[in-house]
Amino acid sequence: MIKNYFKIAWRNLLKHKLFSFINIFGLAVGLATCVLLTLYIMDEMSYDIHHKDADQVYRVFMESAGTELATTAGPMAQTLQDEFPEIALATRVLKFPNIDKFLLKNNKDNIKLYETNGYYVDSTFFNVLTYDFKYGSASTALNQPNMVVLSEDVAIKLFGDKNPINEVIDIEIPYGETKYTVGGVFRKDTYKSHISANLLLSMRNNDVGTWVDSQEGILGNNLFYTYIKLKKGSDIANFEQKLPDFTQRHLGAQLAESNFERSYLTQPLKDIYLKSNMQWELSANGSMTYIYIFSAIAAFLLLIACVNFMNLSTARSEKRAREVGVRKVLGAKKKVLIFQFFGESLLLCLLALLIALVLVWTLIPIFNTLINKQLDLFAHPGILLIIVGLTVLTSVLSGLYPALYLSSFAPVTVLKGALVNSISAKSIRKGLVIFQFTVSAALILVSGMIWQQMNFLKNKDLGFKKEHQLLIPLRSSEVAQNYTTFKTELLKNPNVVSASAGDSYPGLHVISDNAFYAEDKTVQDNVYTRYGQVADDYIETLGYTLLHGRAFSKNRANDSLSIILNKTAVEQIGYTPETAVGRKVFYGNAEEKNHFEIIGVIEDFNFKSLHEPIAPYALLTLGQANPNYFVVTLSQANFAAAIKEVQGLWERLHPNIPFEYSFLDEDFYRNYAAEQRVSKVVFWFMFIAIFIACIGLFGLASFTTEQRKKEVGIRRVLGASVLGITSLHLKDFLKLVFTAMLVASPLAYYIGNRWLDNFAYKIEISWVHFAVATLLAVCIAVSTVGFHVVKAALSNPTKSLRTE
Amino acid sequence: MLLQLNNISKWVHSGGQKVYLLKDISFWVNEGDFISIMGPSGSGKSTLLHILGMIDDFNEGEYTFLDESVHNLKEKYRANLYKQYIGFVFQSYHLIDELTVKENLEMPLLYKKYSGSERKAMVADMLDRFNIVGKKDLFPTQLSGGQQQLVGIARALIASPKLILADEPTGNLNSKQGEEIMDIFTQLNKEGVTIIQVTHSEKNMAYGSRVINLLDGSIQ
Repeated sequence: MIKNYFKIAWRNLLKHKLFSFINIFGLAVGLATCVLLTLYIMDEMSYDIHHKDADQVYRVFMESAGTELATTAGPMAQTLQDEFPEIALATRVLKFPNIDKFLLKNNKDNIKLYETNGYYVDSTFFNVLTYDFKYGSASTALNQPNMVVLSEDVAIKLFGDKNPINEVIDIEIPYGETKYTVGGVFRKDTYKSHISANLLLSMRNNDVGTWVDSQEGILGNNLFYTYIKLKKGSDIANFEQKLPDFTQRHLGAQLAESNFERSYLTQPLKDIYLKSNMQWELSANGSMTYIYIFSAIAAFLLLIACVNFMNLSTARSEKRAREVGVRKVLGAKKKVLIFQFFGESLLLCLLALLIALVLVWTLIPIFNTLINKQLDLFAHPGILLIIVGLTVLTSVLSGLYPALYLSSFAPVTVLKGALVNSISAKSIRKGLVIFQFTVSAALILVSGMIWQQMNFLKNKDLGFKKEHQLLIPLRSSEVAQNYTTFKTELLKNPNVVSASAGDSYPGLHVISDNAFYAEDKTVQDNVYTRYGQVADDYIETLGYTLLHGRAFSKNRANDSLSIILNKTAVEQIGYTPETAVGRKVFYGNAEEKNHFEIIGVIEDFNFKSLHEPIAPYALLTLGQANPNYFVVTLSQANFAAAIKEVQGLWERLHPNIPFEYSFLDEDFYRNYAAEQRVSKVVFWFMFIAIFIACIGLFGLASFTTEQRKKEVGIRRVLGASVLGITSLHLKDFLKLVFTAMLVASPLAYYIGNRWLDNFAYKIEISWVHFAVATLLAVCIAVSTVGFHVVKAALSNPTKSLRTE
Repeated sequence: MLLQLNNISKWVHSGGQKVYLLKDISFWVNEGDFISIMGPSGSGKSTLLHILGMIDDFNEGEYTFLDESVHNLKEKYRANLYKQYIGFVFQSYHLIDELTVKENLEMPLLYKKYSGSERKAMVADMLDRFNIVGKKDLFPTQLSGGQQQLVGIARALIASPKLILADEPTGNLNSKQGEEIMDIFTQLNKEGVTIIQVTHSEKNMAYGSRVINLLDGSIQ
C-alpha cells in the first residue's frame, strides 16, 4: 500500500517537473534557512548554561537615575559576603579601563604579541564560574599572586603545543611590565560565556593590584563586575529585598548630600548574555530582540515555502481529482486518501531536506562570516532532533490543507468531469499569495529603512573630523612617556597635517566622569559630565569647533586647572556659551569646593555613537598622566604612503614594540557592529523570501494562464488585443500585490520604528519608502508572471479552442 | 433476487423549485441479468447507475441489495457492501495515468486487505484471462482506447463482484473495439456476473436481456 503511494508520488514528481522543482527547491531553501537560523539561535542560547550551579549565580549591578551600570565598586564583593550569610561566595572581574590589549612576551622563545580580552579576576573566580581546563585545574590556577590563565589559542601562540604550566611571561600594560606565571590553560570552544576571555589574570598582582587594594568604600570607582553565588536553598528575591537597606546603611549620607540616587539589583548569570544591555558591559552581548527577529524570519520563510506547496497542490487538484474519484469508487476511504496525500508531502519534504542539508553544508561558512560566529552543523546534537521536527512540521503544514481538500472530492462529481476548482479554494490561494507577498514586502520595506539608516550613520556629520585620522594605541609605558618625541618627529613629515594624544577618542567608551555645578549653585544642582584628558593640539587635530575662548596652551602646567566644556554642558550647568569663559565650575563636596576655570566652549559633537544623544562633555589636560592613544591627521593625497612613513618612524623610535593602528571613522562605525550584522542578515533573507515567493508565483501563473487559455482564445477571436489580454492577466496578480502592500506597510512602519528607536539620531520614515517598495514589488511580480502572461496572450487562439 | 428499488426519487433545488432527477423509480434485478438502461441525455441514466452503485444518495424510496436495506445503512457499511459486490466500468476508463496496467489492476485489492501474494496471484490471473500479460508494465497512455477499457473491465472484475455497473462502456471506442468489449460482457454474463449498462446505442442494447427506458427521470 505504502509502496503504491510512494510510486504514485514519485511518478507525479517526475511528470510535473516544474511544479516538483518549485516545491522541492522552495522547501529546501526554506528548510535550509530555518536550520541555519536555528543553529544561530541555539548558539546564542547556549551561553553560560554550563556553569556548576549556574542557577545560584547572580551578577550584582546598580541603577542610578534610570541608567543601569553592570559594574559596582571594588570592595562591594567582600562587603556583601561579610554582611549576607546567604552568599556562599562573591567574586570579581575587573576590565581595567583603557587597556584594550595586553602586550605578552615569552622572552625564552622571543615571542611578542598583543592580546585582547584580558581580565583581572579574584582567586575565587573558578569556584563560581566553570571553565574547561586543558592544563592545570580550577583550584590551583590562581592560588598565588601574579598568575595568569590563558585560553588555548593564546597558549599555542606563545608556547606552541607544549604544556606551559609554570612558565613565566611578561605582560606589559601602559602602567608597566610585570612577570606572570601561567597557572592554567582553558579551552575556549567548549563553553560559551558572556565573559569572553583570552587572559585571566590574578587580581593580586604587582601592576594594578596596588590600585585595587587601595579601593575603599562602595561609592566610587565602579569598575568591578561582582558575581555572587547563593547558598543552596536561599532565595534571590529575599536577598534583593535587603539591598535597599544595605545601600542606605553604607551610602545614605553621601547620596543625600550630592542628590544622587542609587540602587543595587541582581541578575541571573544565565540571563546576562541575552538579556543584559547596560552601560559598561564586559563585552557586547547578544540580544533577545535579535533572537525574536531571526525566529520570525525563519518561521516566515518556511511558511512562504509551505504556501507554494499548498497553492500548487490545490491549483493542480483538477489533475488529481479523477484519481481521487476512481480510488473512492474502488473502495478507498477518505482517511486512507488523506494518508496518501500526506505521504506525498512527506516524500517531497524529505527530498527537500536532502537538498537543504547540502545547502546548509555549503552555506555555513558564508553565514558564519555574515554573523561573525563559528557555527557547526554538528555542534549541538539537539539540532538533529530539530531538523527531523522541522521536516515533519513542514510536511504537515504544507500537506494538511491539500490533503483535506483533495480527499474531500465526491466521486460522482469529479468522475463526471465537472470543474472542481471551487471558489473557496481559489480565494484561499489568493489569500496565501497575499500572505507571501506581505512578508516579502515587509522585508523589502524594513530592509530599505535599515539600509538608509546605516547609510545615515556612516555619513552623518558628527561634529569632528573623522576621515584620514590614524589612531595609534600607546600600550606600553615606554611609548606613552615619550609621545612628545614621537609627535615632534611626526610633524616633520609633510604628509602629517596634525597630531595629538589623549586618553580616549570619540566613539570609545568614556569612563572618566565628574559632576560639576556653577558658581551660584550648590552640589545638589550638579551636572553629570564625562570628560577626556588631552594633550595640546587635540581640538585642532580632531577638528572640534571652538565657539568661545581658547584651547589648551602648549605649556600644560599652566592649564592644569582649566576646563573646556561642550555647549550642552555649559547650558546644563547654567551658563551661556557666550559668557561662560572665565567662570568657574565646582565639584566634590561642599566643604572642599574644588574647581576648574572654563577657558573655552566647544560646539557639541558626538563623542558617543549615534545611539545616544549628545550629553555634557568636558576636556581637561593630561597633566602628569600618560596618554592612551595617539591621533594623527594625514594628508588626503598621500594617505597610504603616509601610513607607511608613520610606521617607519615608529619602528625607528620603538624597535621593540609592534606598531598597530586603526582609523577613527572605522572605529567609530564599529559601534554599530550588531546593527550591521542584523542588517546583512535581513538583506539576505529578504532576497531568499522574495525568491521563494517568486518561484511560487511563477508556478501559479503558469497554472492560471493555462487554465484561462480557452477564455483567452475566445477573447482573441472576439477581437481583444495582445496588450488588452496581458493587462487583464496582470491586473489579477497586481491586485494581490497591492493588497499585500497595504497589509505590509503598517507592519513595516511599526517594526522599522521600533528598530530606529535604538538610535537618538535617525532617518524619518516617509511615503517615499512605501512608494519605492511598492514599485519594487510590482516590478518583481510583473517580471515573474510576465513570461506566462505574454505567452498566453500570444498563443494562437485556434489552437487553444480546438483542444477543448 | 440481487437488488430491488422501490419508489426511488432524487431531486435538487434550483431557483427555489424542486427539480426531479429521478422520480418514482421501481424495478428489480435478478442474479445473472444483463440489463440496459436507455434514454436521451439528461434523462437520469447515470444518476440511476450511481445510486445503484451506492456512490450517490437519493431522497426518497427504498433500495434493497442482497436483503440489506441500503437506505438504512450507515456510510461505512454501505462502502463495505459495494466494495465487496460491485465493480465499475467507466466511459472514459478512469485508469490512473501514473500507474502501470499491473498496478492499476492491483489497486482495488489494496483497499480490500488482500495479502501481497494473493494480490499477485489475482493480478496474474486477470492479465491471463484478458490476454494482456504483455502489456502489464505499460502505462495507460501507451494503450489504445479498447485496450484501456479492457484493463478497466479487468480492474472491475478483479475482486470477483456479483454486479458490474458500466456507464457507456463503449462510448469512447470505435465500432470494432466496441463490439469486442460487448462480447466480453456477454461472456461474463454467461459466467454468472450480473451486468447493468447505461447506453445510447440500440446495438449495444441488443446484448442485454432486459431494457429500462428512462425519460426525464421516470421509467417509461
